[in-house]
Amino acid sequence: MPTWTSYVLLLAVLGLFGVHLAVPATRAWVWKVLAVLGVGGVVSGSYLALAVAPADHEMGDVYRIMFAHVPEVWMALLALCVNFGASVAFLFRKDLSLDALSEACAEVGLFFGTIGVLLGAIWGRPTWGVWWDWDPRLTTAAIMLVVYSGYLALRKFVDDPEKRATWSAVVGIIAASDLPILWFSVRWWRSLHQRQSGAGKMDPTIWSILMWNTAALMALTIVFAYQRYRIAQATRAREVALPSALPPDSGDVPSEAA
Amino acid sequence: MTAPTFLIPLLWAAELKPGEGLIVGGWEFVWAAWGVTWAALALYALSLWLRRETSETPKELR
Amino acid sequence: MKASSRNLLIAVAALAIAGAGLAYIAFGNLGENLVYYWSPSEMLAHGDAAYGPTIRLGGVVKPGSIEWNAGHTALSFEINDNHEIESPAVKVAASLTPPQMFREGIGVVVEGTFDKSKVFKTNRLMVNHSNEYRPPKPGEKPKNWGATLSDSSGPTPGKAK
Repeated sequence: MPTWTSYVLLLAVLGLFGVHLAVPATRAWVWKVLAVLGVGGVVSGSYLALAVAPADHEMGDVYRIMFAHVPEVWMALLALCVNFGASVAFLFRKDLSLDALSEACAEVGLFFGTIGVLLGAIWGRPTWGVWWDWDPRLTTAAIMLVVYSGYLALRKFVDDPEKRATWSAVVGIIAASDLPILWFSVRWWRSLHQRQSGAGKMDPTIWSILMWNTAALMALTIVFAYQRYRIAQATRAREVALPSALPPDSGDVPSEAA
Repeated sequence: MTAPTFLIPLLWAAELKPGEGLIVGGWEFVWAAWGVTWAALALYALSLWLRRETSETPKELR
Repeated sequence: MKASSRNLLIAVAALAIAGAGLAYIAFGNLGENLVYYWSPSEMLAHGDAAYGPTIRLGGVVKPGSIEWNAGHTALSFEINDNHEIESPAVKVAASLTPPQMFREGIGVVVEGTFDKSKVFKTNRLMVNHSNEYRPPKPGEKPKNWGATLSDSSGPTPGKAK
C-alpha cells in the first residue's frame, strides 16, 4: 500500500475540517462526510493493521496494537492542545463558546487518552512482560488522565457559567503543562517506553498503514469534538433559560431565551 | 509488502524456545486491543447521540 | 477591577505557573534526582548503600551470560552498562519466566535487591523494545539478532544518545 494514499485521506480530512471552519453554512453536512470517512477509515484501517501489515521482525504480530495505540494517543494530545488554546483564548476574549470548545476537547482528549493508555498496557504485557510500570512516560500519561478527569469533575461542581469557565480555563492551562512533559519524557529521562518512532524507522507499508489509521481517527476526533461542542452549547442555552439560573424574585423566564 | 512475511513467525515457532527474542502468537492481545478500540469508539458515539441537542436549542448557538 | 482585566491577570498568572513548572522539569536537574533505573556501574558506585532496598537496575543482557537451570525455572544472566561487552556488569538471578523477547543483547530493566553476594535477585523483569518496526529481512533469524541489532535496541545508560 503506497504511502500517498494515506496522505490523500489525511489531506481530505484536514481539508474538510477547513471547509467546516471557514464556511459556517457547510457545518450541517461536512461532519457527516467526516463521520463516513472516519468509520470507513477505521474499518479499512483495522483490516490493514490486522491482515495486510507484515509481522514485525521482533514483536511478530503483537505490534499490530501499535496501529491503534499510537494514533489514539496522538488524538488525545491534539484534543488536549486545543483545550489549552481555547482555555487561553477564553480568558482573553471571554466568549463562552470557547469554554464550550474547551469542555468538548477535554472530554474527547480524555476519551482517546484512556483507550490509548489501556492499549499500551495490553501491548506492554506480551512485549515488556508487565502491564504497567511507573516509568516517566507511563507516569505522565497517568497524570494526564487524572488531571483531565479532575478538570471535567470541576466543571460539574460549579453552577455559575462564568465562574466555571474562568476556573476551568485556569485548570486547563496548568494541566496542559503535563503534555510536553509526556511527549518529551522518553527523550529527557530513562524509561521503559521506547522513544518516538518515525517514517525513517519503519517499513514503508507499516508507516503508510499507521498514517491511514491516524487520518481515520482524526476524522472521528473532529466529529466527536464538534458533536460534544454542540452538546455543551445546548446545555448552556438550557442553563440560561432555566429559572434556577436567575436571581430569586426575578419572576418569569425570559421568553427570548427559551 | 510480500505475503509470506506474515507467516514467518509461524514457521519460526517450531524451533523457538522461551527467551530467544521473538514474540510468537499473542493474537489474543491484538484482538483485545482492537476490540477495546472498536467498542470504545461505538460507545462514545452512542453517548454523544444520546446527549444530542434537541429542538429547544436556539439556532444561533449551534 | 473590570472583569476583562481581571481575566487577563488570571490568564497571565496561569500561564506563568504552567510555564515555570514546565521549565523547572525540563531544564532543572530533576532528571538526576528522579532516575527510573540505575545502570550497573551506578549501582556498584553506591557500594554498601545499594545493599537491601528494592531498586531497579537497567542495562543490556550480556551476550553468552544467559544460564537456565535444568527445569527452565530459574534463570541467571549478566547485565552490562551498555552494548560494550567489557562495560561494567552485574550478575542477576531471576526466579521467573522472561518475556518472549528476552535475549542476548537486548535492553532489560529488573526490579529487586542487591547484597554483598554481588548477585542481584529479581522477580520482575521487563524487556525494552526498539522503536523500529519492519518485517524480518530474508534469512534473518532470532539467533543472529544479538549481533545484527545490538545497536538499535535497548537503553544505553550513561551515554547521552
